[in-house]
Amino acid sequence: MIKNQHAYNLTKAQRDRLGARQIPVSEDDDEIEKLTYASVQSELDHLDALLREYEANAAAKSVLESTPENLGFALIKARIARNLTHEELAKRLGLKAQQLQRYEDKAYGQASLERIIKVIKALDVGMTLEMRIPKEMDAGVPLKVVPGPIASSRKTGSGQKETIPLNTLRFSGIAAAADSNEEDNDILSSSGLLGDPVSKKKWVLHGHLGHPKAPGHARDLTIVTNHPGLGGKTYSIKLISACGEETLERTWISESRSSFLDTIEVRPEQLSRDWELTFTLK
Amino acid sequence: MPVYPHNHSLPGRGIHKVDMLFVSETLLFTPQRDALFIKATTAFDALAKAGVPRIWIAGSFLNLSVVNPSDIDGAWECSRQVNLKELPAALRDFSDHRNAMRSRFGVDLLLYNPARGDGHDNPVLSYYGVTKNGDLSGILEISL
Repeated sequence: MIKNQHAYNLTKAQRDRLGARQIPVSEDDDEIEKLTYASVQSELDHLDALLREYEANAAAKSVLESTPENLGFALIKARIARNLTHEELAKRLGLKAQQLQRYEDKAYGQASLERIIKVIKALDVGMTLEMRIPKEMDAGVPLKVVPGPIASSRKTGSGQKETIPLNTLRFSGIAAAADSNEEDNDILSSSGLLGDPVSKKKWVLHGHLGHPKAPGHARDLTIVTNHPGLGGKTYSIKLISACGEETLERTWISESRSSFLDTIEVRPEQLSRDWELTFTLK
Repeated sequence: MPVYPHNHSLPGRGIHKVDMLFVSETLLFTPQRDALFIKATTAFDALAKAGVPRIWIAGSFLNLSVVNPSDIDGAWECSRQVNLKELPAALRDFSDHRNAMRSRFGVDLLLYNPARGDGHDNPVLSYYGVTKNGDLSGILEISL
């Protein structure tokens, strides 16, 4: 994805350079000529698609729709549509341009919810989150409709209020960097899940636990839910990493009236490794 | 003149003739890079078997500051001596942004046709001589 005008100009120059000698082939040409043409044309088509996408993003003036998985890309598109450079948006956020570029390089995949909300506000765009609850889920298992608020909130370590959607299990690795003055050190590097944990009972997650800048300082895997049916329930966690397999029997504890959390200590040697986590409700 | 100037993460400008040993010793500095190159070697072996005399490696795999490149960009020389029928289909499939060769071999290879120019005068090698950020970068040439 092209993220700024400079990159757009470079890509356009690259496209012109590569396409300078692209000559259409005919049926009479030999296989080598046809393959050469197809090879270069495939890259030209790719570059054209990137250029068109940027032009469309820059011209977008109204609504950008996005799935949750593509929210990060939507934020990048919104910055382009707002005609903001990395430097300009970073200044509004109190960040360095390079930090913002790092977020965008990973499509905000490692940004906290708090950071994402700040970006949306700094972009000065209106945003509506629409959640459609299916009548059935998981191959016919009825969704248990739990009365209560749409979402609950809790205070994060930094004192910020954070909203947790209902029926959500959220897994996150929390890093405590030695020089934790920079806000982007409190990372989320693992997956989030939506669904009804009571009806599904078993989840398998894959992820990468650790912090790219301070891998030796990540320490906890935190699991948060606000599902009222999980209070006091026991469950097992199987953590498989490069260091082996470990199964733990756990019990949800109530952090507040509406959310439950558990924190599992992760040993330093398990950090920055690919892991698989199986969560089974008893 | 060294391929990588002192304190530079990209090769110096130009085409550097190296061998596989250089690649192993210089570029396989993480397990991910190691695994990617092992996968790509299958493609390089198939190219050699089909009579491809040279390949070029470019892109993020050459960038020493990239820990985990997603693929190995480059090109292979499609001269008259190459038996195209000997090539795995994935290396001749340029549809879908060359997804087939990337997923099977971890490579993203264009064709270098000597008839279209020699060295950096060839549009493919000229294309690889500039990174996406606009930096000038050398590329590696390996005889198979």
